[in-house]
Amino acid sequence: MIRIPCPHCGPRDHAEFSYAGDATKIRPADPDAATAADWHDYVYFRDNPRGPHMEYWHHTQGCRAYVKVLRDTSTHEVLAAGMPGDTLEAGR
Amino acid sequence: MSESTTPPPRRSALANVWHPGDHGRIGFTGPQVTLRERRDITAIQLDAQRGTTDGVGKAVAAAFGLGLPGPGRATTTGDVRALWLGPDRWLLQTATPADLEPRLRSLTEGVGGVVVDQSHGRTILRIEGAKARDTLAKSTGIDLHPRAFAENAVAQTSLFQLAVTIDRRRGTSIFDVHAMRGFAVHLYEALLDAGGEYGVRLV
Repeated sequence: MIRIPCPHCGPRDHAEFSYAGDATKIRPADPDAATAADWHDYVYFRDNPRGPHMEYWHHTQGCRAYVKVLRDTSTHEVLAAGMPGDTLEAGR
Repeated sequence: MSESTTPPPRRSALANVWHPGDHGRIGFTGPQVTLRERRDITAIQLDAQRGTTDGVGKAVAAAFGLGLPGPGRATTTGDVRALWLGPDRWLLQTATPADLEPRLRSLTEGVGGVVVDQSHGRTILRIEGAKARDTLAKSTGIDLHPRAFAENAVAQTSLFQLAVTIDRRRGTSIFDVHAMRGFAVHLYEALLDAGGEYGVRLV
């Protein structure tokens, strides 16, 4: 099991959360200037790293807020968690 | 067709399944868990739009003398209780509804508040007794010990796979569990099952 430290509610079981996607993908800043290739990359391309991965989780059964989580995909260790706008580093 | 201004009478989602009496294993000291439904509670959700939290909080404080609580807490003044539900989101509940919803609407909508009446959509069960905490602890990961979850503590969490709000009332062993109305029967049956070994009195 994974325990995610929600910045609003405190540590909670991951079953209360829904995975909400890769947090490393940034939407093109100027949609009109973005090319088809930019959109293709933003919508479809995902890395599949072994190790620390930045991701969004939605606290569906708790405060209903999105949180950002740095999780190690090989060990499931949660290295850091914070608000969606935070820049996270391992060890908080 | 003329429009009716009085809403239809409220009917409990548990009306057909609630059998008052003692259930489960009753020891020499009687049932260790008491379960009752808090009916006819008015529950209003109040949200503050981004950046308006202070203004909404002041408007509520001025009118009700009630400070909106911070994360994981509840506050009570007179007959109105406010529960923290999430960032910039609260639930205000009262047993004497009168005009709570229109009052909140007129007080807060001008300063960024969003008011939604959830009374019809929620079922509130009150669980108390020596084994109330053990009954709830069977299916939630949060620490319900008074040391960690004291009086007026509130948590939104998962209980028997449901998204619920647990509100610790006065005393050390009284909890209100809020669930969506559509899941009321599941919650009721699950609590009855979980409390069976302690004996459950339905009031």
